[in-house]
Amino acid sequence: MIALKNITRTYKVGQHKRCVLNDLTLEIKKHESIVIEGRSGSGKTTLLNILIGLDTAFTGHYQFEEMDMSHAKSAIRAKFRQEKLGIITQHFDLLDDRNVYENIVLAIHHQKLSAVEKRKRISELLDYVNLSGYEKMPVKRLSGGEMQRVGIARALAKRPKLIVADEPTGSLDEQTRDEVLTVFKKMMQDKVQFIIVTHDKEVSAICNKVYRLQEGKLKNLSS
Amino acid sequence: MEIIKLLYFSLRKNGVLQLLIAVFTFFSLIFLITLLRFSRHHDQLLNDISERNEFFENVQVFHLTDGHGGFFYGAEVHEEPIFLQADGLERMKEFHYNLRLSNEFYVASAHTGMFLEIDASQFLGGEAFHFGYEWGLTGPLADGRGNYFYQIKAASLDYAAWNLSSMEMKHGRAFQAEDFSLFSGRIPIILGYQYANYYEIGDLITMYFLAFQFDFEVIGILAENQRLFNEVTGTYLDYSILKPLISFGNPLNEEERRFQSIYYNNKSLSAYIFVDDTPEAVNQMHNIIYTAAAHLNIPYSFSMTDHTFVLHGEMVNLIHHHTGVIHRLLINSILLIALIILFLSTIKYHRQKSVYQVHALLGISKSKQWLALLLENLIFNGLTVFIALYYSVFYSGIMYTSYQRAFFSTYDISRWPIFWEAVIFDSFSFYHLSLQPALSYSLFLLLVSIIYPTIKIHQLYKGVRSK
Repeated sequence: MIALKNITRTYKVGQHKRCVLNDLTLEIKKHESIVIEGRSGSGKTTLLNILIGLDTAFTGHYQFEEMDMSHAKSAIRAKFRQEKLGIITQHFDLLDDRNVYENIVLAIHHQKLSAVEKRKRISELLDYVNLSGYEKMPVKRLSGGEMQRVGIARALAKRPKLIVADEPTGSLDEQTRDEVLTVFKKMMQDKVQFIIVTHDKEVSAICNKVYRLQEGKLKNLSS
Repeated sequence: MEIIKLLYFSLRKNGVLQLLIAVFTFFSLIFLITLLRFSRHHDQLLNDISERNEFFENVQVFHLTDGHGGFFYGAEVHEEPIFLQADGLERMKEFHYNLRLSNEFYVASAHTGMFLEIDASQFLGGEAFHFGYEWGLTGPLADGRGNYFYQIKAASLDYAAWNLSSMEMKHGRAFQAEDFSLFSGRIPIILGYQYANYYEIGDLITMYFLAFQFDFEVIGILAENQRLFNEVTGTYLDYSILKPLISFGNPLNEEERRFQSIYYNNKSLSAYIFVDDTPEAVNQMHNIIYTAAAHLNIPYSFSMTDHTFVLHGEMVNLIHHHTGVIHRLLINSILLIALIILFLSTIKYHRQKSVYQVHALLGISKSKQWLALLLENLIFNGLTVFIALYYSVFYSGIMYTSYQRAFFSTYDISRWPIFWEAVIFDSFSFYHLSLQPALSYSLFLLLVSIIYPTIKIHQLYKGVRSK
């Protein structure tokens, strides 16, 4: 279970303080996927950064399963990202001087797998995201949709407890967005747990719970 | 293991590092070529010095002194100084003449102890020209009749000493044999390099020498850093007047007699005697001088002096000059290389920034990223530190071998520098000059290697949070 209790995050802007998250509370049960909607600047990315352990400058309590993430040290938070989270970003965050295989293998290089096992897993994942045989393809030669599917494969490679996606279709056109949505639907059927931050209604539609982030608080739109 | 993998990926994929290697290889080559050219130039200078000083290499040198120390050869010493005795002047002149007659040895007189005096209002130069300036004696002296004089630096030498000193001229002409002949109304002088701003060729300067007024005519100006053959450093003549030890006819009065007595006494007692380096030649020289002195009842002593002072002087100048060049070269190179390193490190970081961000998202900890970046910096900066240190020791080695060659006549190429020699050489000062900037450079790079990743990784995480 993931639990955020009374989370408040403020930014200092010049002489003033701006409260982005205001006493926010959220509880996500096991295997439950949610979507967080909100306008630009509403604090979605801040919330996501707290969830993935990159932002610690908040007050309140954050619990991920048995781990108290509110007070976890930097190394613990890094290990948490490495082992338990798969992260998908709007701009894919792939290393464009490397090929598809090298990008995905980065996510599992810490795992005690043989080279053969790594190749097998990556091959399966590429098959899963409809990119079979793309291992040696340089990333810079892929389309936006293909890049995002490599990003998804990389997020899934470590077999994480949770996938966190920040505007996964935000940089894609309609056609490539559909390719990505197809993969997301497949993942949903396979009971992969998501937290997706988006303002794309079609992405919202694939999840069972939708929240709106407004004035620093979450409002459940599904209930 | 994770850090090694990070490092491996970065080294394998980062083109800037290849650029770094190429740049440093280029600079190293330039450095090496400069070094070789410099080394050949230095060697050529050494050969020139050796050729110029061939005369000094197979002789022993004795110096006549004022008779108040050392071993006395005079059979009978008068109570009064010789220049106060009735026939003292004639005896001094004869002794002086006889000394130079012998074919068994070579005599040259040169000294810097006899200053000139000039009317304070007439003198154009600054305090550095004053006799005793180095000891703080700069003020004018009063003669008690309202006149003020400066004592200014002067060096006296005979034609033999002029020939031995091999001086170079900046302007005008050098001394010729006739400049040292009988006094004929004005004395030709050559001014030191620093006088070039104040006097011109052909100027007549009225000055006092041993309280006698003379007109001195400027015939030339020396090049910078010229030395008398018996001087070690090359700065004295730059601020000095070079005056020939001319001959004087019979004195016309008692005052002139007294002047000439003192003058010839100084002339004889500033003499260096060069004799073949064999016991027979040295004994013969002793006998000749002993006989001449005993015959004329001249009190004198003479002592063996270090004949390497000639080479020493030239070598010290050369080594000082070249270590100065090396020092400047190294400091400039170090500054340039340091700037290049900072510049390339910045480019490298910007090109790798996206990699660090992805690593952060994938859960590679801040400390591991910092360590990987630190190792990467240490490897490449360490390489340049090695080059800098090696070259600095290499340069110093040239200086050291020059020193060895000059003073001990050894020049063993196999002794050229390797690191341990820097520690055990007894002439560590030669390493000091070039090692100092190299060590500063190493320290600078070490700090860059540590501080740079710290700042950049901190900025990266700050950036990720605010993204």
